[in-house]
Amino acid sequence: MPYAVLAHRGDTDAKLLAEELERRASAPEVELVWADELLLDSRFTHRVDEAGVETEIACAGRRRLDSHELFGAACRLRHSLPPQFAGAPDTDREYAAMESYALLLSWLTSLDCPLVNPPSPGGLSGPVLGLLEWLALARASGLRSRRLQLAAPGAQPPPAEWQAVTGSLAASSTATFGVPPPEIPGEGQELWLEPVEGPAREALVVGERVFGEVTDEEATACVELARRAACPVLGVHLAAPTADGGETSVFCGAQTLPNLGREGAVAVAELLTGETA
Amino acid sequence: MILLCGIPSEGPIARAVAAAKQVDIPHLVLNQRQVGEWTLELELDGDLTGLLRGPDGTWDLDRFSGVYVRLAEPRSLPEVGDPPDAGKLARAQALFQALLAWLEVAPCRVANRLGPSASNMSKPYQAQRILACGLRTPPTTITNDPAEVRRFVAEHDQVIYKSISSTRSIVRRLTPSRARDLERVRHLPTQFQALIPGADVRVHVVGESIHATEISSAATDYRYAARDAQDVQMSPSVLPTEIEERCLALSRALELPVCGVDLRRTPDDQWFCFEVNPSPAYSFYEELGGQPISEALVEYLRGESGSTNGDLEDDDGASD
Repeated sequence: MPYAVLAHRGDTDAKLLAEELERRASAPEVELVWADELLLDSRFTHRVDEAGVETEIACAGRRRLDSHELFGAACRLRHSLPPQFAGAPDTDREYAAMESYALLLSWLTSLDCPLVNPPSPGGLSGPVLGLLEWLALARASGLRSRRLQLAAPGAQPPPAEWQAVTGSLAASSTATFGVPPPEIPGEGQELWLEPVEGPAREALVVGERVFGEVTDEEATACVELARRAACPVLGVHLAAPTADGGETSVFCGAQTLPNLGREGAVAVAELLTGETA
Repeated sequence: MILLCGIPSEGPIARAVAAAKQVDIPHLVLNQRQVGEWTLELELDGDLTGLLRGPDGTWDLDRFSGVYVRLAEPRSLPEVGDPPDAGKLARAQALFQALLAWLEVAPCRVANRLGPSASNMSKPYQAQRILACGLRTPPTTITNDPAEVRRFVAEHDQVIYKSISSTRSIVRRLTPSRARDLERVRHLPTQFQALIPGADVRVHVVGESIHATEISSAATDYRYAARDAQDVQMSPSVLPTEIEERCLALSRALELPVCGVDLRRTPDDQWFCFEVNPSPAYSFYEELGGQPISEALVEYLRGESGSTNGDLEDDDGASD
């Protein structure tokens, strides 16, 4: 059972990735496993002791996902709510989701095959960072970070053209600026962002490769950002600060579950298998 | 100056404040219950700068050498009300989120940062990190297959079960009567562990200092001893050097400079580690065991002891 792609139903990028993996000679067997199959209709055994970690997963009607037999895996899971608990009371539903999350995190962490994106304690498919962390990482990676100001209610606002957004400072898997203004103006603190009027661009990092309209310098910085974030597949949002696009682009956000498209799926399949089609 | 964030009457904050006074460390207490009276302002323009404004003054964030974080969830604050007052809740949440976001990137010492604290969300994940640092963990199986549980039970003298995640659960023995309900694991994978006999030892790592407390109780889970009509006694303990070193290595590896490591010493002197608590209620142990943990904490935050960095999540320690 060489390769597994884990995703939620409707994830077309996951389907593309499974197709691309199947086209590679080293990946004759690929299982595209939907979250509900993994969490509802499977027999799961995960043993942890001093001899190591051993996991056996038998999804109904599918090949087994035993950990020592996997050659590689891609995880595109955003959450871990077992569908059988979807209609349960809040406390039970939350408990089931947390328990499943804890199990999946341990399983994915234990895999010694190539895995994109590697899980982090906060996220099954990569790091979960707040905006300040992404901005700091981007700056350290060589990208110009968007300027930001968090002001107290009633404080002097920044120049008029700056944009007010709501508290997206908390960590989330999609750290992109542009949340609607506060529902209760003046009650919470206000987050202001440097305006970006130029065209927005998205770069897709896959390992050492970068797709999208970026300069060589930006591409190098994007790869470095993905490396520092321990997130080999990363979407990076850039934009020119002015409408004429004349100045250096600023980093506006990052996405650990970016859209892949066919080109990205090919690159991820190559990253996992080390093989072109 | 050190910053202590939380509810001043809560044990760990209260003891940290008392210790800071005792050893004369300049400190500021951010009382989370003063909803709307505290704000955090940040500006990122290349470098990150900011101000903390409170009812009695304004402080440049650069002034803080270290921050101790024991924030309550904003909805749980009495001042927010029940049902919550929308405006007060918005202010409480704004401060909460701003503090946590700042602390993730703040250059000062932080006990502990939110990101690294997430390791506690999965006990088996943490077990892998614990094993990598050279400490032993109990044989464990997590399964939704009753046959696997029976196999595991047949392999081990006694078995306990508990939550997989950071959700608090009382550790219970799998007794024959409970074993008759095993079919219920089909609903959700459940964690089973070989019961390790012996004495519980809670180790508080603070920077590079170690404070070990031995706990004596007949209860399976000493945290709930009273519920089982059992007593709890605590006394200072000294760890073997290699166990100390592994606890320190674990604290560094998890980026949790202040943490509670739950160990058990077996009758034949084997040491097992159950988990690492990123926000230990150390005051419980300090009160009963008498060790100067709060003093070590404020010294660490002052920047004159230890190294590394990393918080949150509430749990006052667990042992199984």
